Amino acid sequence: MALATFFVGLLTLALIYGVLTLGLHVQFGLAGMLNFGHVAFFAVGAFTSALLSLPPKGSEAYLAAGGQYQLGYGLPVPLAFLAAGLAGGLVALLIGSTSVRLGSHYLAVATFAMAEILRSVLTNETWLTRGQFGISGVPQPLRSNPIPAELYPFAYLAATVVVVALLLAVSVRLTSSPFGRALRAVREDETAARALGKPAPGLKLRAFALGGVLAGFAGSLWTHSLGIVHVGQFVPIITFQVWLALLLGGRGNPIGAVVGALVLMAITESTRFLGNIPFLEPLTRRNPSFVPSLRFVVVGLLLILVVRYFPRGLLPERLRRPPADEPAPGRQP
Amino acid sequence: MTSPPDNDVALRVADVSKAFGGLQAVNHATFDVARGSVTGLIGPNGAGKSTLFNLITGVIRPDGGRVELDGLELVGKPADVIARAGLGRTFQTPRIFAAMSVWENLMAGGNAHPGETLIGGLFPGRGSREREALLRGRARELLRFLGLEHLAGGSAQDLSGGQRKLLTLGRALMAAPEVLLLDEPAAGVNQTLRRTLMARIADLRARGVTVLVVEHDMDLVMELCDHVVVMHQGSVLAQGAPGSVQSDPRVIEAYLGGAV
Amino acid sequence: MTAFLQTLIFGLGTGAVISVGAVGLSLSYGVTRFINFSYGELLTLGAYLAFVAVSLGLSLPVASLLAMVVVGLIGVVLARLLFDPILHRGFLSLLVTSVGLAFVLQNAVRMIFGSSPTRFPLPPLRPWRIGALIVPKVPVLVIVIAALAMACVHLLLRYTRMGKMMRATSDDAALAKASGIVTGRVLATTWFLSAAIAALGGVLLGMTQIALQPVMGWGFLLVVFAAVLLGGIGNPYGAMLGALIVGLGIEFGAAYLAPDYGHAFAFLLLVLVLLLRPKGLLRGSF
Repeated sequence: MALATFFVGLLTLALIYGVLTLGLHVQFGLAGMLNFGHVAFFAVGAFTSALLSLPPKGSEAYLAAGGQYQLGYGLPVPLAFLAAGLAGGLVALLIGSTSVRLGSHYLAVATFAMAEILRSVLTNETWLTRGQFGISGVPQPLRSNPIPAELYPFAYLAATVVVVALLLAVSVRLTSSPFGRALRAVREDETAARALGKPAPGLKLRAFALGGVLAGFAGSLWTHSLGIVHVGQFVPIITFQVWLALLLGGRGNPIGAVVGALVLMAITESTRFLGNIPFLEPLTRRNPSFVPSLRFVVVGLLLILVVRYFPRGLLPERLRRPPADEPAPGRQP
Repeated sequence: MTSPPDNDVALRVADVSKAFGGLQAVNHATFDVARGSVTGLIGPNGAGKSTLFNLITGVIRPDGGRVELDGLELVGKPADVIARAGLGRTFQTPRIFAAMSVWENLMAGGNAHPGETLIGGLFPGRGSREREALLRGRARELLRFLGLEHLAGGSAQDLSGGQRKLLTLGRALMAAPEVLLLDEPAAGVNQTLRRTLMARIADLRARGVTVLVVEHDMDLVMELCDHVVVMHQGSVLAQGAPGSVQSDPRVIEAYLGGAV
Repeated sequence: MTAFLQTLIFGLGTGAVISVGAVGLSLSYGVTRFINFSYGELLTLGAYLAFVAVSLGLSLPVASLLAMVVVGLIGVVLARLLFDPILHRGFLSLLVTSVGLAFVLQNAVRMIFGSSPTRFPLPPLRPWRIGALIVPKVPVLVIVIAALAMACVHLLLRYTRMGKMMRATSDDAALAKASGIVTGRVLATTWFLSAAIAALGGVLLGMTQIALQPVMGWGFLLVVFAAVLLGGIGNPYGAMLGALIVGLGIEFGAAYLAPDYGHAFAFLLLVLVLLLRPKGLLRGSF
């Protein structure tokens, strides 16, 4: 049973990463924007959802949760979830509106810097986030009431699957829509797209904001799954794990984004068992960071290798053919 | 120098100048493009023709002068706004959307599409559906017009150079532009394709599209154009009917005695 | 008054460390035209290698020189192996590869040395007392060393043939290649120099921070980016100026505005530069 719970938790985590990757797919796969600060929207979503749903200061539930945080609004979790998406989108809009006209590698540096600024703020503004201590007791909806605690991970997984399926459907719809088509045109050749009348900066900004919304949703799913939110969870490496997932799965394909996240999770979790290899044991004992660091070495190596040898990823971008309802031959034009 | 009468002017270039560092790339260029005509823009290499195209279409901003599309001032407007106002263009090296299919390249050319917004894309209303249907019809027609039907479902990346030129021409036409700027459409193209292109451009004139074409191929220019503008070292050297321009001594001199 | 002067000296010291890093990054950018996210790890390697060399019995100055040479060579090998083959592939490939490399290097260091800080082998230096002034020795030492290094770089670029070839390559890589100036040797020398300077920067950073951590270079990366972009990307002299401004900004910001936000001021500066004046304060390349 413990093993089943473990795998269920892993799958939930992988799907949440899938939503994150979906967000990056919209920003990069569709709109071609190099976002190196994606973790910032994830963090904003998580904190927003947590703070909005935590019981207010001074309430009974607050005290019961051992309350030490300042802000809490006691909103129902689904509402907090929506707000998390909105917050992620707004922050993305803010960051994007300043940088959408930057060339690609400047955009990468700018988004990276802004994410670090945000992390700095979240770490230091302890009244908001409790800084290094984090906030525990984030509501886990319906846990123990009526869903028994042992079954909770399964229930949460089911809920996550539903949400991910919905967001995936929306993404697929968007990709094939005229909006998606215009975005891809801008991505392929912005000058040519503008010469055709596409309002490139506006389109890119919208895509960027949408990516932020998705990342915000992922943040909400994440924090309610764990029950804690802590600024130390939102480090830059998360951004790049999402990048790896996107590149692995196929950047131009929304389903690829989710698949990539699942594959990446499988790979990184398998390194967890590296610590059990006999000849590595003494090293692991001497240095507790050994296995975690090894995992990140694997991530780094994969980034290098995938970009060099497997840049298309698993699922290619769909080539759209003309619709089947061709007029009968011989008809006058 | 002859220029067409005012109310028949689709595109007016007035006193346009642009300098890069110390180099005067375009020097007070002035000419009109008559509605429904095919006007040729010719001149030796470095005469400033491509720069002028970029100035007209808003890719770069002129230092001075005016550009008017049907009386609408274009200078200072972003490139996409200018395109939506009715000015289409192709590029010297065809700028296809490589990762998209030929069909989608064409469909991406259409504008004024309510479906190209975030909400409109997710929840297509009637306006969006109608526009999409209209564009589909137009795209099919253009595929026939350009002879690319059999390639429609394939990747644009797989097209040959000549086919790419045809594709980008078609794509520019999807927006039903009033004025179309063609940047060396026949450069590096084989004879058969050249003939096809010329026929297609003549067809465009028949449909009422105004065309301004930059070309080095003199035969094409002489055969196709109603009016020719000659540029040299950034300025307009001469303009008029092809025959008169051809025999203009200044023009001949500019081409250093080469066959004009 | 003394507080102000102390902050000023620390600011200049920080600026000196940043300038060493920034000049190295500028050199490598001049040739490759992409912002190398693994650059910070070369600083980390430099600091840790110096530490190892000192543990083996070498004096700090010798250990530092050794570290510079070794890291310089590592820099060339990594560049040849990972970056040269994909230089034509576009920004995404290069940026992501450099990030991947950064993770590999940083975590390799972590695997060997662990996460907890290692003490940098700097003998304790008591500050100078000039009248009522207490002048800390370390920043002054750092400034002197950095200035010497910068002078050497300047002499190299201005007066040696290799330096002139490096400048030509930076100005116009295509032209340099076509005219046969660029050879594998010029590229290799640039990589070597860039990495060796980074190693020196790491040693100076170690001296300034005393605590060595695997993340030290990565944490410093954005600060170096800020200096490079502020000074005009690809321009080592601009990078020196940018570094000074950023260094002063960090120290004064931390001392007078918000102590916890030190590096964040550099990041803010970076963002502002990118948005308002992306070409930097000094235009053009060197």
